[in-house]
Amino acid sequence: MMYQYAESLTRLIEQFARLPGIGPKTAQRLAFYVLKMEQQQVEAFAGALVDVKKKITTCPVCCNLTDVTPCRICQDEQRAQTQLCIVEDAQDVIAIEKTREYKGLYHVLQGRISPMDGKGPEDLKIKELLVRLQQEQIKEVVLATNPNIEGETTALYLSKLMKPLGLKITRIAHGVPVGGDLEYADTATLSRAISGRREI
Amino acid sequence: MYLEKISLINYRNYESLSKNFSAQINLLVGANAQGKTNILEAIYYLAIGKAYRSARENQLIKWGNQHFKISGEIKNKISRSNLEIIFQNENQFNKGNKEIKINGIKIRRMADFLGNLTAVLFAPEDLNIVKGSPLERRKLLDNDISQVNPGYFSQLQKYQKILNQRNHLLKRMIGREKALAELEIWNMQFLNMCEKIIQKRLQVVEKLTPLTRLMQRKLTGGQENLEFKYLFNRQQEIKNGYPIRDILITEMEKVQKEELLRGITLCGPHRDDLLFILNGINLKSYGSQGQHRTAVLAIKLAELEFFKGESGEYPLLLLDDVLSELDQERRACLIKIIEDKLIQCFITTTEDVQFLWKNKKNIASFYVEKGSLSLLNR
Repeated sequence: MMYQYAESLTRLIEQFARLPGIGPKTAQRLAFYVLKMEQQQVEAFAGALVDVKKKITTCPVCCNLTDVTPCRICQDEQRAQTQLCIVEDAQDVIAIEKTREYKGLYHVLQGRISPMDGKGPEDLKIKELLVRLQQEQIKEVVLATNPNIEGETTALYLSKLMKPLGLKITRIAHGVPVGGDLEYADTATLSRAISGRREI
Repeated sequence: MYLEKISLINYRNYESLSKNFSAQINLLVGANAQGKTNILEAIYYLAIGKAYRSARENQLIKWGNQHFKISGEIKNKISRSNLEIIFQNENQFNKGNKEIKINGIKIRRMADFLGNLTAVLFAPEDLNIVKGSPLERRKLLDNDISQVNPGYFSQLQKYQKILNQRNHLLKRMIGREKALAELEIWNMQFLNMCEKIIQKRLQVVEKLTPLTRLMQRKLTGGQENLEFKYLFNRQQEIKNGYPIRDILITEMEKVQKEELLRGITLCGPHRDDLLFILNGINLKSYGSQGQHRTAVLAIKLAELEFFKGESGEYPLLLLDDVLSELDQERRACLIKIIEDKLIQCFITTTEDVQFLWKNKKNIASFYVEKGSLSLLNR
């Protein structure tokens, strides 16, 4: 009979292999690394996995990830209650928060319109968005979906949907990266930056 | 502009090659299946960013290896640059990894790479431009425009993506018209790209038309008149200056019902065609083999002038095995044009054809055998 790994080890390798971006070889390497780790460390790791699943939920208001209900941003009364920034994923909220420029509320769509991935508007958190626009005193909506085809389509779809509501609807600007040199910007970005130029 | 030097590693049947070329005529002489065309293919690869003979790039790797590299030293009026393409195979199912560099600096987008070397290729299979499917004629336009207008290449890529998305949506909508609001948004995106691409193509057709007519007259002693017609959705002739957006909107409304039944996009630049009219008659249906060949040659020569007009310099001319197929008169005409205009030219033949040139000073003949090139004595 061919020699195989013990059952518990095989199981761990299989679990790692399910993660995105991890193939069978990497899974094996990770599993062996776990075997070498201190007991305490392994328990902390396992605990973190269970914990994150138990504690992190979706905020019923903005659909962002949260450990309290509603989430900390939705609870924060210091924030401008009239501004709403719409993003594709929870990571985008963090990215915008890091700028400390934006002081309003968020709404996380949890995806983008992409028929190739089988995702239509009905799969996004749009119903929740419309409820908010009715119930809260939002006056301006900032569409901060990604500047690619799918993000653009999602933004267009939403702006059309929200138009009758009489809100101020804005789209984030696209252009050259700050601190960079123009000569290193790619043509697509640069031509977009030129067509979207502003008077100063 | 000319290619001063090329280096190949594991490309087709070349394990390692590094050769300097003449700024004018380069004859690649050798028996069949020695790698003459592979040189042309590699040069053309640097111009259009992909292989024209093979859709799968891992087929270009020399058997038993995992990567290939093409690098070329380009010299134009004002500067000198190094272009490099490295393709790394990941596994046989995967598309692999392509890295492009200009002067050693990694470039992220193909659109920024194109245009540094322009080339016109004339190969036996180019008869398909006349005889083959509309795809061949769209490829002709798209390859030409991408070389002189790199933004067009990005637009084509974007168009393809929107088209894919729209087709997926249409397929999902078969039998149920629920997602009409979503389709409307995709239509907006689709329409914008369609308009840009068709507009650009029409502009180029407009420029190519008089150039081709002139070349055709030169080649036939003023006997034949060649014209182009751009056919929208394979039937409606449109020209530069037509209200393309309105035409597109009308057509999209017309086909929408059928699109929803069949689940595919039924109008747009991916379904357009280019018609060749010779003395008022459709060349594809009624022309002879010889007329097809002359017409293709006229188009290729017109392309040379087109590139010159757009970028200020003549492109490289790559002739794959075509000299033997032309009659004496046309061959002489072609050679005269190459000589007069000082175009760098790469010609593959099975025998040395130096005798065709009066002035042999700027001719370099290379003997090609089993993946190596050696300079022949003059």
